[in-house]
Amino acid sequence: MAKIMLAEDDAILVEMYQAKFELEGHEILVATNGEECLALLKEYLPDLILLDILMPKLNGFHVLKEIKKQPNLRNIPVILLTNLGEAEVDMNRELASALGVSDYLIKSHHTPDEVVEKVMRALAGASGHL
Amino acid sequence: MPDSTEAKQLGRPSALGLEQILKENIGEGFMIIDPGGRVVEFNQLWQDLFGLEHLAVGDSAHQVMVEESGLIFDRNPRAFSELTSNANVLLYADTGDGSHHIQFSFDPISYAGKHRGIFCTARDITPMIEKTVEVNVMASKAQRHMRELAELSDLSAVVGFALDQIYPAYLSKIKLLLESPQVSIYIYQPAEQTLVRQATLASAGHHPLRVKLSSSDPIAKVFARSEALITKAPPGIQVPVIYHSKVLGVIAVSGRALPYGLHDTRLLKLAATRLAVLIENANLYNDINSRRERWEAVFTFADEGIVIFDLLGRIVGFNPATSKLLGLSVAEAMGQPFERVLKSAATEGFSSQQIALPVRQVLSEGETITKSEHLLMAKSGDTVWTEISFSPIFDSGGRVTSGIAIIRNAQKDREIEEIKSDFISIVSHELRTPLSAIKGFLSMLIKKDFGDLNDKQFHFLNRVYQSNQRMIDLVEDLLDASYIESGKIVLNPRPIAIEQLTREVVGELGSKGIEQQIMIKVTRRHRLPLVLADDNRLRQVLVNLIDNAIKYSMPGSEVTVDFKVQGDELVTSISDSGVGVPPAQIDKLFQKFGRVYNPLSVKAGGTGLGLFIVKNLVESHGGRIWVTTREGRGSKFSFSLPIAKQLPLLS
Repeated sequence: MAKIMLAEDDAILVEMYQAKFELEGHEILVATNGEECLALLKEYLPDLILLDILMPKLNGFHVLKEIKKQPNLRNIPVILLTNLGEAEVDMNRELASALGVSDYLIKSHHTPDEVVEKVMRALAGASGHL
Repeated sequence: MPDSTEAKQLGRPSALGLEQILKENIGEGFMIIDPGGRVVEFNQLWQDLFGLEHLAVGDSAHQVMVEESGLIFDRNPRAFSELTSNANVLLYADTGDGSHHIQFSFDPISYAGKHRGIFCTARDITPMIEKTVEVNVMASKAQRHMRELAELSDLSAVVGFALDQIYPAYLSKIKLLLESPQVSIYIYQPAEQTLVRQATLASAGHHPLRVKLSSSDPIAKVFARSEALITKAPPGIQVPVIYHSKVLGVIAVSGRALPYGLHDTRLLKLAATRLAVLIENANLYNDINSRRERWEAVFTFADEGIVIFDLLGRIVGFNPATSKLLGLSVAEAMGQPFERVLKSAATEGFSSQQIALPVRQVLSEGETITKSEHLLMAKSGDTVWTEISFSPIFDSGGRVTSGIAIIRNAQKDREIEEIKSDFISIVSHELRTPLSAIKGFLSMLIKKDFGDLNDKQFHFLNRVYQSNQRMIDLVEDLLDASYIESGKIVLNPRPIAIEQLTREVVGELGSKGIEQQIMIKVTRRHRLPLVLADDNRLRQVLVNLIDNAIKYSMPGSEVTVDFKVQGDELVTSISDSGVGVPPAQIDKLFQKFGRVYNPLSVKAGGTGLGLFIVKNLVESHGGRIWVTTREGRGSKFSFSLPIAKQLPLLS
C-alpha cells in the first residue's frame, strides 16, 4: 500500500483516479489546486505525488519547483499527469526532466490501470535508489 | 604702207561726212522732225523697224508713225508732232500683232537758243521685254513655292496628341496652302463602315457629315482606292490619309475658282502624310496613355505593396500600399537601392541578407521567388507580418529589364491563424478532459474492476471505448496540425534504431492487421545505422504510414516495411498492394484534409490530417517523404531521415 497525493482540479477525473487507486488498495489524498497541494504537503508526506499541470491558483510546474526547494519534499517522486497534448508536453519535457520528474503522462493516452502501473514502477525505482 | 593710207582716210571728216557716218552706223533707228512735225531725216534702220518703205522727207511724222503704223502706244504719242517740254520723253509701243516691243526716245534739237526740231530714236526691246516677263513669271512661281513651303513647314509645326486641336489647325493651313475655302477631314469608322467628318471649314451643303463606304461620293471612292482624285464640277480635290499603306481617312478640299491640278494633289498629299503620322501617334499615345492609366490605378489602389526596381536594384516604382507598410514616403523611396530599404526593414531573427537576397536573384538569374514570410519593421518601429514575392520583368526578347516585388500584408492572416490555433488548442484541452474521463471509466468497466459484465455489455462498452479512442486521436491530430502550422512543434532528437521501433509499432498494430487478414512484414537488414529522430514523433510517423497501408489494403494482401541507406540518409519504405492513388490526386495527398476519396477511404475513417502531419514531421527532421503509386496496384510511401553520426565510444 502506498500513500499517493493527487493534485487535480477536475472532480470527475479525481473520482476516477480515486476509485482506481482505492480499488488497488492505495491511500489517496486529493488537492484540487496548486496552493492546496502545497498546504497539504506541510502536514502530510506522501510516497508519490501525481501532479496535474493546468490547475487554478498555482500550476503544476510552480508546485513542482516549490517541492524541489524543500528538503523534506525534494525526494518524493513526482509524476506529471496532464491533459496537455503531445506537442505541449514536448515543449515542457526538458523543463520537466530538469525538475526531476519520474514520469510525464498524458491523461488521454493512459488508462487508470496504466497510471497505477507507472506509479508502482516509479515507487519501485525510488525505493531501489534508497 | 597701206596702214598709213587708211589712217589718212579716217582723219577728221567734214560735217556732212559725219552725218553720213552717224546715219549709217548708229545701232538704233532714228528720225529727225522739224518744229512743224515734218520728217527731216531718218535712217534705213528706222524704215526697217516699222516697214516704212515709202517714208519720205516732208511726211507728217504723226500721220506716218501714229495714224498709219498700227503701233499701239502706252500713252498719247504727241511727241511725234511736238515736244512740249525740253526734257527727254520716252514712249513704248507694241506692233499691231504684239510681236515686237519698241522703245521711242524723243529729244528736242535746239541751237542758238531756238527750237529746231525733235530727234527720235527707236529701239526694238522685244527680247528684253520677253526676258523680263519670263523673270517675272519665274519670280511669281518662286514666290508661290516659297509660300507653299512656308505653309508646309507651318504644318510640321502642328504637333501634339490632341486630335481635336490638330484637325482645326490642319484645316486652316490647308485652306491657305490650296487657297480653298472648303476643307474637311474624314476618318474611317470601321464599326459603321463610314467615313465621318472630324472637322470642317466647309459651309453647309458642301462636304457631307458622314459618307458611307458603299456610297458613290468621291470621298468614299478615294478611300476605297486609296488614290487621290480631282473632280471637275464642282472643282474639288480629295486625297487619302495613309499611314504605312493603311488608309485612315480622306482630306477633301474644294471651293477654289481655279481648277485643281497635279501640283495641288502633291501638296495635299504631303499634308495628308503628315496628318496620318499625327493621327497614328495620337492613337498610339492615347492607347498607351489609357493603358498606363489603368495600370497606374492598379498600382495606386492595390492593397498589396508593389515595388518595381531597375537592373541596378534601384526603386523605380513604389506604390502607396508599400509606403503605408514601410512607413516610407514614395519620394523618399524612389531611386533608393531596394536591398537597402529591405535590409533596414528587417527585424531581429530575420537575417537582413536573407531578406534582400531575392532582389539580386531575380535580376541576375531571372528567377521568380514566391511568397516568403517576413516580419518587417516600419520606420515608426511598428512591425507587420508580410508575404513577399519577387519576379523579374522581361522585355519581348526575354531579357530581364527590371524586377517587381509584391508585398502582402499578412498580419491579419497571422492573427487569424493564431486565433485559430489558440481556438483549436483551447477546444482540444476542453475536449481532452471529458475524453480522458470517458476513457478511464470505460477501461475500468471493461477490466471488470467493478463487477462482471454480460457479453453484450462487454462488447458494447468496447465499441464505446474504440469510438472514444478515435475521438482522442482526432483531437490529437487537430492539435498537432495546429502546432505544425504555427511552427511550434518541438523535437527532442536522439539516435534511434528504426528497425526495432518499426517492429514495436507493427506489434501494436498487428491485431488490426490480423483483423483484416493482412500480413505485415518488416525486412531484416543487418547493421542498419541509427537515425537522428524524436522517438515519439518517429513512432507517430510509422504508426500513421503502416496504419494507412493496412487500411487501404485488400484482405489477404501484404504490407512490407523496408530500409535502405542512401548517402547520409536512411530511407524507410512502406509498400502495400492496395487501392493506390489516382495520379491527379497525388499532390493533394499530403495537404491538410487532402484525403483521397475512394471506396476504401470511407471505411478507413481518419481525420484527413495524418499525411499532412507525417510530411511535416519528416520535414522538420530534415527528411523528405514521397510516394510512388499506381491506381489499383498499391502504393509505396518512402521517407528519409538523417543518419545519426557515430559518437566516439567512451572508454
